[in-house]
Parts: sequence; structure tokens; C-alpha cells
Amino acid sequence: MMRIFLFFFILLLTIPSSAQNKQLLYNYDYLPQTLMINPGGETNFDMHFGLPLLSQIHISAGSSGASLYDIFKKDGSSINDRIRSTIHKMDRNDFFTVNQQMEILSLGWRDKKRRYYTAGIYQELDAFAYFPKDPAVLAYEGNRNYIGKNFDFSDVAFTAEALNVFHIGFTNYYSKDFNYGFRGKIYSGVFNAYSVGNRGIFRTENSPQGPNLYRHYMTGVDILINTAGWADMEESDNITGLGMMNKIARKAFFGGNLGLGLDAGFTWYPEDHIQVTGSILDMGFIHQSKNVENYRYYGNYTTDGIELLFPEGNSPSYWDEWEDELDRNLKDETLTNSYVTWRPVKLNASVDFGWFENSEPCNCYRPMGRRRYYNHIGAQFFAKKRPRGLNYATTLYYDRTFNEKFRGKLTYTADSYSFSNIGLLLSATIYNFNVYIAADNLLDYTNLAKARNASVQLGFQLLFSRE
Amino acid sequence: MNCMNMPPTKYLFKIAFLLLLVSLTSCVKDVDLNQAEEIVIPPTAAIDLIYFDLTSDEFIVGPGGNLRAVDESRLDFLDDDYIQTGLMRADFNFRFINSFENAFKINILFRSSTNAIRYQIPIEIPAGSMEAPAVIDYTEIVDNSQIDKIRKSIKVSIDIDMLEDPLVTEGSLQLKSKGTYYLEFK
Repeated sequence: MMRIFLFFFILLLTIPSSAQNKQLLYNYDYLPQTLMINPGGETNFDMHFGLPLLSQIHISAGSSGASLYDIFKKDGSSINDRIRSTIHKMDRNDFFTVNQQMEILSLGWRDKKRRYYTAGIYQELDAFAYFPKDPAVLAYEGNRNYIGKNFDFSDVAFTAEALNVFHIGFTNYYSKDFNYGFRGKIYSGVFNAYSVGNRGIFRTENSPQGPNLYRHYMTGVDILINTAGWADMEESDNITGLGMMNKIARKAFFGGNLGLGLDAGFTWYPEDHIQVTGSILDMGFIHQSKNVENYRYYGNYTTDGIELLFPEGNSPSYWDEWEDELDRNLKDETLTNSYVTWRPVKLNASVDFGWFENSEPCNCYRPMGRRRYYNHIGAQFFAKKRPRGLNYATTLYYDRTFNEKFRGKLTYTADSYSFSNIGLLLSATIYNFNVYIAADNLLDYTNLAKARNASVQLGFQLLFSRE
Repeated sequence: MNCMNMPPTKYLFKIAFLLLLVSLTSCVKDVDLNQAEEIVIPPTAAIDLIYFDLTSDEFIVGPGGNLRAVDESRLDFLDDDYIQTGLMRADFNFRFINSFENAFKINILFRSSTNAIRYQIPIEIPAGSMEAPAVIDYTEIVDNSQIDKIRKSIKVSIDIDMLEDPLVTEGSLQLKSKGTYYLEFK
């Protein structure tokens, strides 16, 4: 049983993402999805309509410390040695992450004042966990080789959420050199788990002055796991059936825990060839108030073991007394207190240089009415807020328009996972029908097991221009 | 629309598109997930056991006429799942410090809930003195062939018999003890 659990744990955590760094879609003005990562972005179409459920499918997963290959490679050595060395190699800031998004509905149109409006619904799943170094070492090796050392429970920090996002936004034409935009979001949370800011030390010391050989300490323990949207799932009689689907669907469409968010962004041309953009996404929160359960374990306790007192008559219930004392000092509570979670804020910034002018005539309804270029090179910076700070990625890209139907983008990204992430986006638009596909970490696709992260996006939609 | 000065990239593009599509179904190589069968989690826990500090007034006169002290404690963790399925070996370490001028014969007994003796550790303690207590460090290694006896126990009792005449002197008999539990979870 333990083994199966560990197997799935490792499998899950070593699945190859620089979660949600959509470096391939950023500044890509042929696709409406670029507006989802910069509401102030440029677009060169005048209306779009995504095929429901198919306009964007995004999956990414990553592990900063280890790959599937690190654990399961075939090289004659023992898997248990590899697990041991991987646990020792990783530290408390290594992390595992999974992110998935799917556009349910996506549409947009431009008005006569060159403003572009968008509206839609997408579903998102986001999970993030730091490697719980000390508890993992304690569980894997025990305390025997760590007498006099602390096991720190603050290493445990994770978040997970599933939600639906309803959004409406616009991109405003301010001047021929400047474009900005905002997007308002309503979050409808299906599920949330949040455990950050845990504290506590477990320590075993040799105790030459004490009554026994060791003394065990649990000091300043305060572990809190908040969940929302889970309690009633567990109780569901029909855990796999329609009743369950019904519950999830109700939560997804405003029946869940609600929140609000804002995206903002801009595009600025200091001169014809140079474009500067920036965006901040998901400045928002969810008020977790329905189906909330908070599990808390806290207190202080020190023990020397069980003291025998040799009374006359029957022995006292030493064990029960010891357990009672433990429970009095280390308490375990399940509460139903509401809590607020902040969505992981994302930042993007880029500088882009374009050359080789596209002689396509200017369409003056478009935001800038600017010259266009077949080639762009640029640098993009991405950051995402996580419980212990920002995770970064830096991307260099080459964006090439082949003709009015075909365009591609090649990226090189350096981030917490690797310095060898090559990505490719290709899009084709034929008779208003657009299809795109993007994947990163292509060098690792020959053997995905070695990848520490990977992401895939693809989608289908209709694009229209007023020509 | 003027593409005349662009290279004929249409076919290249199609090929690249197909390759990208194929890459998404890429495989996982040189790994053997069946190795999961071999995964063992091997923690070793070092935990305090019982302790006492016994003075002469706590002895009673035993059936053999000598001075005797007896006590026991349940060890409820012994029937927990992780012990029942995972315990491979246990080392019990006992340190006796005797400042009585008497020697002792001691029996540490692991017993079932019906008091049946599952595992017995007899230890002899030489006489000491207030100035120079006798210190006995004794380690009992219960290896895999014997460990089931510990797994089938639920309590520990200790019988302490003073060997010589009941010549009560000042002093004390102390015990400090710990267990080292070698666990393996598959």
C-alpha cells in the first residue's frame, strides 16, 4: 500500500512546467490568447470566436529538483539508492507544480474607436508544493541518524485549486504609440487546499542530565491545512456518478466560493521598430466560505518516555496517561473557519525589435495602424508569485511571419528547471479558421522522462478582419 | 499582399507543424516503472522507552523472602499498523545504574494482552556503591527471526529481585532505556 502510494507520489511529482509561463503566446498578435496574458496587447484581427472547449487547451507540469528519469532510469543501480540521493539533493525551495487551463468560451470584437473587447470563461487547475525536505527525510530515514538535529515543519507548504474564471476585458487605443487594457474576472472556486506558514520543530536529544537516554521535543508546532469545496465531495454518496458531476458543475458556475480579480497591461512603441510591453495578471482573491474545513495541529510537548513508579498494588495505566498528556499538549482540531486565498500573481515584461517590413497595407481600424514586420526578436521576463517568493523565467524569442496564413515563434527559456528549454509555436489561419499548437522543452521530447518540465498549448478558433 | 520576396516556406511549415504534433505524443525512454515494485521506505526510529529510579522503600518482600519490585506498562504502539507490517528489527538498549551494595537479577518481559510471555530479556546487575555505582549497558538485538514475538506483544513488565539478603542500604537502582526500531515499508 505504502509502495503504491509512493509510486504515484513520485510519478505525480516528477511529471515533466514552468507552469503557466506562456512565453510562446506572449506578444503573438495573431492569436486572441495573447490578450489573456497581456490585456493591453496588440491584435491584428477584428473579431474572434473560439470553438467552445477547444480554443485553448493548456497543460504544464514541472519539478525543479528531479525528473522521472532521475528516479526510474535503468542503469543497474538500485532505485532505493536513487530515491535516497534525490531526497538529499533536493532542498526546501525545490518545488513541484501542475497547471492546466481550458477555455470554455472565448470571443472578442473591435469597435470603431479601435478598442478591442473580449469576454469568456475558462477553467483552471493549479497545484504547487514545495518539497517538504525535513518531513520527507524524517519519514524516509527516521530520526536515528539525526539526534540533536531539528526537523522543521515549516518546510511543508502547498496550494492547490480548481476554479472557473468568468472574464470581460478591453484594450484601449490611447495614441498611436500606446495601448493599454484591463480585464475584470470573477472566480468561482470548485476546490481549494492551502497550507502555508506552518511552524514547528521535532527534535531528539541525548539527555545525559535527564532521567532517560533521550529527550524528544515537539516545539512551537502549528500546522494548518485549509480546504474548501472538499468536505461535501467526501460525503457524496455517489462519488463517481452524475451527482458528483452536478456538484462540480454547480460550483463552477457561481455556486462555488467566489472571488474577484483584475488583469492589466500595456503596449508602447518608443519608435517604429521597438515595442515594449508589460502585464500583471490575476491580482485577485477568493473568499473561501462554503464547505470549508481547517485541520489544525498545534502545541508544545517534551517527553522522556514512560516512568515506572512501582506502586503497591496494581500498576497505573502509564500508557494511557502518557497519551492523554500528549493530547493535552499537542492538540488536533477540525474547524470550519472561512479564509481568503490570493491568486498567484503573474508578471510579464518584454522588449521586441522588428525588421523586414511587411508591405501589407495598413488597416487603420487596427489599434496602432503601424508598420508591421515579418521578423521579430525579443526578450521576455516572467515571474509568478509563490508562497516563498517569485519564480522567474527569462525568454529570448524569434517570431517569424511566413505569409498571411502561416506564422511561427521559436523561444529559448531559462528558469528554475533548466537552461535548455527550446519552445516552438506554429499557427495557421485558413479562411478565418485558425489552429495553433505550441510546446516547450522540445529538446526533451525525445525522452520526456528526462524533462523537468514541459507545457503544451493548442487551440482552434475563428478570426475575422475587416478588409 | 506581397510574398514574392519571402522564401517558399509553405511546405517547410507543414512539415514542422506535423513534427510538432508528433512530438506531443513523444515517448518516455530508458526508464522502467516496474522498479516501483522494489521501492522500500526504510526509516529507523530511535525512541525513549521506560525509565525509573528505584529506592529501597519501594521494594516489597517477595515470595522467596527476598526484596522484590515489579511493574509494567502497556506499549499500545506495538499493535499499530506500521509496527505490524513494517518492523524488521528492534534494538533495545538498557542502562542500569546501581548504587545499592546489592546485586540484582532482572527480567524484562514482553507480554501479550493475556500476560503470556512473548520475549524475555534476563539481565544481572552487580552490586555497586554510593561512591562507585555499577553501570551496566545492555543491548538486546531482536532480529528478523525473532521480531514477530515483539509484534505480538502489547506490554512490557520488569521483575527486579535483590539477590543477597534483604540488607537494606541507602542507594538507588536507575534504569534508562531506548528502542531503535528498524522499519521497512513496501
